[in-house]
Amino acid sequence: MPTREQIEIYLAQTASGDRAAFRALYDATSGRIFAVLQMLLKDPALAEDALQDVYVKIWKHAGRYRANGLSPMTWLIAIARNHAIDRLRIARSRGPDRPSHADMSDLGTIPDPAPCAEGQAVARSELARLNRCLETLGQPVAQILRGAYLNGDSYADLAVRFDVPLNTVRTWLRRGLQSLRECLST
Amino acid sequence: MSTSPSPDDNDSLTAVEYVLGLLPEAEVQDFEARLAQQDSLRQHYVAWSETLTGLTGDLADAAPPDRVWRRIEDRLFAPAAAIREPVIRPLAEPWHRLRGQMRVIWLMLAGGVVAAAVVVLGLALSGLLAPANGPGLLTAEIAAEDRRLIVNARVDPASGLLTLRRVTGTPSAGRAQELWLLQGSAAPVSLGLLAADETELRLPEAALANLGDTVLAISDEPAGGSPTGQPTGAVLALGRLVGV
Repeated sequence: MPTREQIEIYLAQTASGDRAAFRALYDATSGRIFAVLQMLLKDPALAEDALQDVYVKIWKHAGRYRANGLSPMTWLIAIARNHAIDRLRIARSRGPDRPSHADMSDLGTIPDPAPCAEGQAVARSELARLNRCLETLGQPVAQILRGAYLNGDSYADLAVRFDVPLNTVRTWLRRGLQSLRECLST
Repeated sequence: MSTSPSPDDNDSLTAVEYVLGLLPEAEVQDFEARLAQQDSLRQHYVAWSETLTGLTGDLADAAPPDRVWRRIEDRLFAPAAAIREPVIRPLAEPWHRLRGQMRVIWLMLAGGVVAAAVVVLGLALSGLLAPANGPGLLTAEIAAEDRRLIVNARVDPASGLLTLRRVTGTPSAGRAQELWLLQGSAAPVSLGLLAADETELRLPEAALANLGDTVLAISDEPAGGSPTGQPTGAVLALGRLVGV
């Protein structure tokens, strides 16, 4: 499993047009990116198309990686998620129901079978802390965050799921974030 | 505790909404402009982005099929794509030899040549393979010659419903793909712009009488579609409706 530093090197080399580095970047990261796209888009063909589009964007914009200070995986995931959310918006605007997670339990913890290199140790402990804080805070903020992040839920979707007005969802999110910040900083 | 939210709380919330995709589109531009100028907002954005990435840590990696990488390579690194360089094929193309297989004709439809080209295309297509018989479903594979753009179409003659599913190929940046209905020697009828993935629409009533002699075409147009009501850009893909 490549370290953060290795992925940054691949990105820098990709930005200068190195195709072998781009292939290495793809091999190192597409598994996680594809998993995220599958969660958001559900349909396997759509997820494949999106994966293609996302890596074309990554090739074209690799030079922008450093611009806003995100870690490499976060930057790649942001490109993927933004692309998928755009696709979901297009589908939504045409009206027909799209499948959504009625049962949120399958968005819970699934152990990652891949062994971690040392460079991932820090990320592991942060992940544990996030999960612990979300457990402590409970619903609805955990559901709102997971629903929006992993399932592409809009405020409207969440309002329907919780059966409350849209502004209530927003208020819950605001309050939940305050508590989450406190928990994460301890 | 009901204190009114501080600007910092507001920034925190807006940053999370932006990362999650909850921010209304109208507010996204403002946010991005502020992000470029306001350090404290950028700190919220980075901190929350990194924190929320943790939510993917629970996902098991999913190995994509090999074909995805091949398509990425083709799009980025293949020599000058034929999809942007249509070739004029002689209309003496022997249709009677097609034996039910899908073939494509490349035509340059541009400017004042449109009317003549369309009539010629129409003449070439009329009297082709026997019309589909019976009221069954009709399908077409609307494909580019190099197969870098493929859209599958299905028509239910009873309802007039046309369903389109994109298999591969997307419009170039700033351009759109417009779908046209070609029947007999009539001028192409626009069926609208192709969506990213699936499109569903009802065919015009007048088209239903002649489904056995129908070609669907995709042309390259400016974003928003042809400004003239007829194809203005290159024909990218063609497919003939045949009975299932």
